[in-house]
Amino acid sequence: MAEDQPVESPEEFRTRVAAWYAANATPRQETDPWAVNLQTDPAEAAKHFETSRQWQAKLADAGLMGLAWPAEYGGGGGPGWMTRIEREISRDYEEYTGFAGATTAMLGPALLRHASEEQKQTFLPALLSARLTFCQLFSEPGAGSDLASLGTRAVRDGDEFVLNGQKVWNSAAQFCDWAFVLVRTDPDAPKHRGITFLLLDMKSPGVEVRPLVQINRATHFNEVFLTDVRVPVANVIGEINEGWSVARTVLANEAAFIGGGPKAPASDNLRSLARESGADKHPVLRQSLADLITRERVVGWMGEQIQAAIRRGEMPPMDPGLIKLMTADIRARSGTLAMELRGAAGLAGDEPETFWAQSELVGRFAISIGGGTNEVLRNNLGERALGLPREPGFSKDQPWKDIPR
Amino acid sequence: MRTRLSDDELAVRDAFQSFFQNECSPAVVRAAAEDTGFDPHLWEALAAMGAPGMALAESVGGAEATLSDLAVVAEVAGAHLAPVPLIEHAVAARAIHRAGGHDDLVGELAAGTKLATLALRPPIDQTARLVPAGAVADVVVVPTVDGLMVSEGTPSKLRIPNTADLPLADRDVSNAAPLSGGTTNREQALDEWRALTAVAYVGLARQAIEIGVNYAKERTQFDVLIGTFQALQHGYADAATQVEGGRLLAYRAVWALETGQPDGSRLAGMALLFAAQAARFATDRSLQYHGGYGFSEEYDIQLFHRHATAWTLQLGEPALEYARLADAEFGARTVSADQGGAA
Repeated sequence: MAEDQPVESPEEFRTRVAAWYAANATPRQETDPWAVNLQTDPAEAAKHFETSRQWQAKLADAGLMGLAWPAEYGGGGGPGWMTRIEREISRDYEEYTGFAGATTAMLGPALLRHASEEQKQTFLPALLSARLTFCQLFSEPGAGSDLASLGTRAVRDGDEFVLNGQKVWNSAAQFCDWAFVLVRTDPDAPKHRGITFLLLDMKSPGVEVRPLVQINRATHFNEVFLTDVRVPVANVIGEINEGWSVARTVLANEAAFIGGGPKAPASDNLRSLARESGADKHPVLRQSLADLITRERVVGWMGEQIQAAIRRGEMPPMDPGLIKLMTADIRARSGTLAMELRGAAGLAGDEPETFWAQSELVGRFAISIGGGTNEVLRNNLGERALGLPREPGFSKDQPWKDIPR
Repeated sequence: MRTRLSDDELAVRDAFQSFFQNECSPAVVRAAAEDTGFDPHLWEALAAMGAPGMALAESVGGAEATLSDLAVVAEVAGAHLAPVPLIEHAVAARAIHRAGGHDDLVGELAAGTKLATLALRPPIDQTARLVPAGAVADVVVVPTVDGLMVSEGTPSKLRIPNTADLPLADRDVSNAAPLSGGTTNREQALDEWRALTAVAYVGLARQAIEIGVNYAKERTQFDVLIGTFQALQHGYADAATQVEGGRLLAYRAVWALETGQPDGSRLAGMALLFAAQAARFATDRSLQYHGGYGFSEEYDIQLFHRHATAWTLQLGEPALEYARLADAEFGARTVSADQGGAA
């Protein structure tokens, strides 16, 4: 048992984990900097999902998932630096935990904070080991930026809720075993106060998943239709009608995750394009590139500050929304610059550089829209970080059923 | 300079407005995109209206309309993302006609029974690269150091994959014959393309704003129409400002080229760059304000966003066009890049 062993020093821990990775993982190959993996082929996407799930299971077997999570729920119960060291080492290897790992980071903290003891015993070890994978069923066609206006109904029938409604923008819903879903349980309450957070078995009768085609032809997202889907009341996380606070825990983790994802800076590729075309000698383009590099550094350090605070269990020194806004701005600049540097060759052809430039140009919208639009994030910053008054016209106290739609 | 359309131009606009509305729905644009990026039926219908030859002389079967009339049609075609190379065809046909001596060919072009296009950059090793409508055109007018050449050949009907599903292709122009008129004819042709493409961008941008504004008047979030949010209103107001400015500039450039004003070439360059930027901004805002649906394939705004980037790039790096413009303003640049900032 952990408490009987002498506490491992960071150096000892690093040596142990590095040895495990050396024995079990594939050292990272020289990656193709122009590779764009949109996974437009469904079979390839399914394979990718399964491979990363199995890798997470292997990490969990080795005790390397949830290093800082409580030991009673399958975690390591260790200090926060273990997570950081493990991540550093893992970067040198090919394998990664992918979607399952991302959900673990988003849903795990919400379950730790809001779930019952029995639920934690049941679901946290399954989440950590990726024995169960979870997709998020939050947004609806009529509830995007205004998520709290959601209308998927859950009507109680004995020990069960009966769900009816439609969800949208559901990443990997076609692959996941379970979902965490927001439903309307009290239409008479104001909109934030009649929502319940449920765990749903995706194999339940009445669940239908349909893919959504994106501007870049990828089908990462889905629509999920729920028709008379029965869910045990025991699957409610937190209290009935108080699901909004659980959702906010998930959303805060999601914003930090989308904004701070580990991605090679676009400027590396832009440098190559500029050198190749001689644009690094062009007085305007080279200045734009220098400006972009500056911004990438700033956002990188902002991310480190926030991650460090999260590891120490402190409040981040700035709103994580700042990172997502700034990343969206950088992606807009890098996309434009990529096309300017590439010129006609960025417009057409099947060279990997062309595909990368095109993908960079539309990829910005994944950041400036996904997980909360720039506009909503700016409003939140104005209200929460700066303390400005709310925009007029919000009916926070009106019963949900009386709100015009 | 005139700032309003004449009655004749208004009549032209109304006729083509209803034509494109009926014949060129987003479904037509999407269907063409799945094929070569060119819609032969739409082209035949346009030919029946006399569009391919409208700005050619009556002596060769044209309608002797002005370049401004043609611009009015280009704006409406741009607003509908019409999958036909109307601008390239008209500019190429006019260049061949100006050169003289190709009356039979120009007659076929005026009737629209043959399709012409304009390569925007000189050929390399006898091949014109990324020619607009190169996958479908029978006749390619090619710029060279000395002027223009014309090449006839059978199109491959195979396009190079590209971001806006345009019928782009490389063309072997080893059989090209020189056109008389030298560099003057070449510059006139390229400038007409710039000015008319600027006008098409204005149409595209106006339509992108209209689509977005209509969506903002239908979509409810936070219990109100999203159009009530100033974040959106200001974005669309900025876009509309740019587009109105671009419109004035583009039509001014067309008029200057038509009437042989000394600043015609410069205005055409300005108009293309400004209108392209306005179109990128307008489609960017409109897509963003659609939220997730803007990012989905199903909503039409993504078509406009993809086209907004594509048309200018056919010409090459925008930086080269800006450099050309700056050279026209300040004389050719001689300082090296190292000294550029400090000079």
